[in-house]
Amino acid sequence: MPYSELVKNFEKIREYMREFYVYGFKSRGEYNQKSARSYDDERRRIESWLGEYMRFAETADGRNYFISVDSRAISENPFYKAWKTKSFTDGDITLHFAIFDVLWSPDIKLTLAELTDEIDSLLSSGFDFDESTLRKKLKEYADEGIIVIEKRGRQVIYSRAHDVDISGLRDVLDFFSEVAPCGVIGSFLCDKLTSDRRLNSDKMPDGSQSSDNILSGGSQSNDNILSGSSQSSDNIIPTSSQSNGVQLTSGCHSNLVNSSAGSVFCFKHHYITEAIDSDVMASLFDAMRKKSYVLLDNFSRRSQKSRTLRLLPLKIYISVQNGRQHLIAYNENSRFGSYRLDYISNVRLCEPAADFDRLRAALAKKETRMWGVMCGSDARCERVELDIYVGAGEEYIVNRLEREKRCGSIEKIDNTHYRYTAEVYDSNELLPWIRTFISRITRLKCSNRAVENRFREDVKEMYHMYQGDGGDTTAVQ
Amino acid sequence: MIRLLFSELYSAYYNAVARIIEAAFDGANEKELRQCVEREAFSESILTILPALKSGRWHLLTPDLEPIPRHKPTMPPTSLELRWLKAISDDPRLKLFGVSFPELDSVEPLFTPDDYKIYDRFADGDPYDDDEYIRRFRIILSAIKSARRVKISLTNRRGKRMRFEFVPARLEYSEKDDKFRVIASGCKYSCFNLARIESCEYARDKSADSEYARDRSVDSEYARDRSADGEIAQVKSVDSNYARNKSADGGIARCSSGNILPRDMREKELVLLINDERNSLERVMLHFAHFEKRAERAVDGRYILRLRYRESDETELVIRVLSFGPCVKVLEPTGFVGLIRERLNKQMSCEW
Repeated sequence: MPYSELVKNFEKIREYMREFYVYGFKSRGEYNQKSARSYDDERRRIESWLGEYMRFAETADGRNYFISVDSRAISENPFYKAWKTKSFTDGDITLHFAIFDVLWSPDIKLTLAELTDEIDSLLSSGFDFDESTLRKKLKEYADEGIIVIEKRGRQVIYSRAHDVDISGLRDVLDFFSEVAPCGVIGSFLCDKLTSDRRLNSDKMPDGSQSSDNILSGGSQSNDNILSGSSQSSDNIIPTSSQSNGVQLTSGCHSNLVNSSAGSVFCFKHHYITEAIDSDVMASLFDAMRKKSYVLLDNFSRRSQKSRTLRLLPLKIYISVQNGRQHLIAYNENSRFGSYRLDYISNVRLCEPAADFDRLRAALAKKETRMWGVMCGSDARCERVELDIYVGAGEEYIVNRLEREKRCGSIEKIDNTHYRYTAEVYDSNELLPWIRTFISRITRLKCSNRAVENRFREDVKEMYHMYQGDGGDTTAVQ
Repeated sequence: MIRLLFSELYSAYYNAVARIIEAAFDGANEKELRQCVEREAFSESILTILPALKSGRWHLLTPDLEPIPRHKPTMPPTSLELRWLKAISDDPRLKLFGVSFPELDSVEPLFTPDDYKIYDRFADGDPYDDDEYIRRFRIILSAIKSARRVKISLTNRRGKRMRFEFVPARLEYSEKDDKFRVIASGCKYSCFNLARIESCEYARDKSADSEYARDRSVDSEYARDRSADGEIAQVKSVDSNYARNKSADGGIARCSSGNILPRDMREKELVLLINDERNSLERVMLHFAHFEKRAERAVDGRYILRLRYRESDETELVIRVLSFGPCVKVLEPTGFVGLIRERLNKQMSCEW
């Protein structure tokens, strides 16, 4: 097969994108699960889609490719491009445009034979297709909701689904496509607005645009004029982090203004890697809506193998602090378990579960004792008490405790100390958060002594690590 | 089962061909059609799309680049797209935009708020139900689009009422903080928490603005030093900061015009040494994935991560690095190492 930018199977590309983005230090030879040719093709594809974010470093083992994105300086997740690379046949694309050209209005309703004739006439026999191919394509489109199939007596009638005017939703789509679950679908909708966007960006600031916003409450002005015209790009500053042939080009404030023409939004603390798990997430949401079990393949980091599991999906847990997403599901061992979305593939819908509502309610009760994604037996809860020093004028520390705690309670124990107390299923999950208060922790008491001891050992190890230069700079070449 | 997201219906190639047919209706020449491909598709797509159309393999253009379809291409939204739209209609932030989706009443949402939980978002997010907040959001949004100046007032942490005029450039949303910030141009502060703004109105007329907008380089004076808690801490002159930072760690940045960037816009490089214990390599790489970064293997089998951060985020970054415990050691910059060391020294002196 000759090389093509497009791919048939997204799963193939998913792992490469993750490797290039999350790690990015592997050389070609280390991608040994695939052939060298496969590596070359996938890398070339990703480079073609994400060229501006693809970098490489020269090492003794050759070039190490990686993806580097300052997600604060972009307004559209570049990984969404990967979802727009599905391969197709010459017939697919020709029939697609022909079908919607013949059925250009929802009022046009045709039988298969009539539609075949119309398409034949449109394409002037420049394209060969048969009725069964067309029927199959129409059925596929009916499943997608873009074609309506009706029966009139013994006749089957085809028409296009009603259009929905989304022209007034540009800001909504620009924002929610980045922050809502499965945001890539919002990006698909944004693509339909591309023409409008281009048109508007060409207008002068005084221009205004009226639109019949069927999906708009009309309370917002429609002067969709972008402010990009007055921004120059000469504030972009290359900085000095060059090493091993790689340069991290630093953006600055102006990047926010210049790099994302078309959107008024930009995003901080924005984890874009979750985009590549969108299909898995959508399938799990669908199963939850149908209150149904699923079969899925779950990769185990320990065994380095995939195993098929039968689960009842109950909720997706999304982190905005560590870039991970988990499925909380009821498993075959009659327990609640958490499963990383990036380790899940091939989700298949199974039969509905009679006790979905009961199990989801049970999970909701457990949430009061979950710090992260671990939930277990109520009988095995662990108690954590953390005392924090808060000096005069340091009320912001109390505010931090209040806004960052996910469960448990805070009490003032004297003029300069506050106590955080929680009962959780796994106190290990709190350790990273507890460490963020290093410098003011006056007491940590945990019913799981191993956690308490680990914290003490960690602090001592860190203290010694930072005394003197530690000689670690020799590790950097 | 739900239709898959990975479908040619959403593909860049289909979008590009739709734009090409649209442009062909408007009499576009080959160069303009080529531009459609460049805008809508990928760097190598030009090798495929136009040749396929010109050769008739995709029988949608004549050899003279006339459109074969009789209408400009359109396609109704798919069920998946409508279900996603319906799902976001339940989001409290939708109120900011003043839109509703009456046409989607009969559509089943792709997900509901019961189906997912963002479990580590800070609890003091912006008040999306507050009418005044919504009004300010819309004024800022409209001002960004029309390059209009706004006048705002807020009370600083010392209780002093402060007023500013600027052209808003962007609205920055933090998913962790659940807050919007207004990125300002032509103001001594580079950003403002939207929820802290007490009043917000349009300022002056547009003719004055257009002149103003020509010089949107940052003021040579600035007064912002944002702490980890998002408060405005103190006012400093740029000159004194320039002198102070120049020798420190290369944190100084200049625009090509020669203006010095405010401190909170300047960037530094953080170099971390990672011990791959307790799966820390993956945890660190994912945690810091949203920065511009580069990783490499150190000679001793450990890993080096270099990332660029804004100086104004330094305190937050210190906290984030500390959360990894001894699995991560800061190598550079020296000032950052000092901040970590200072906290560890304080901790060792606590009675715990």
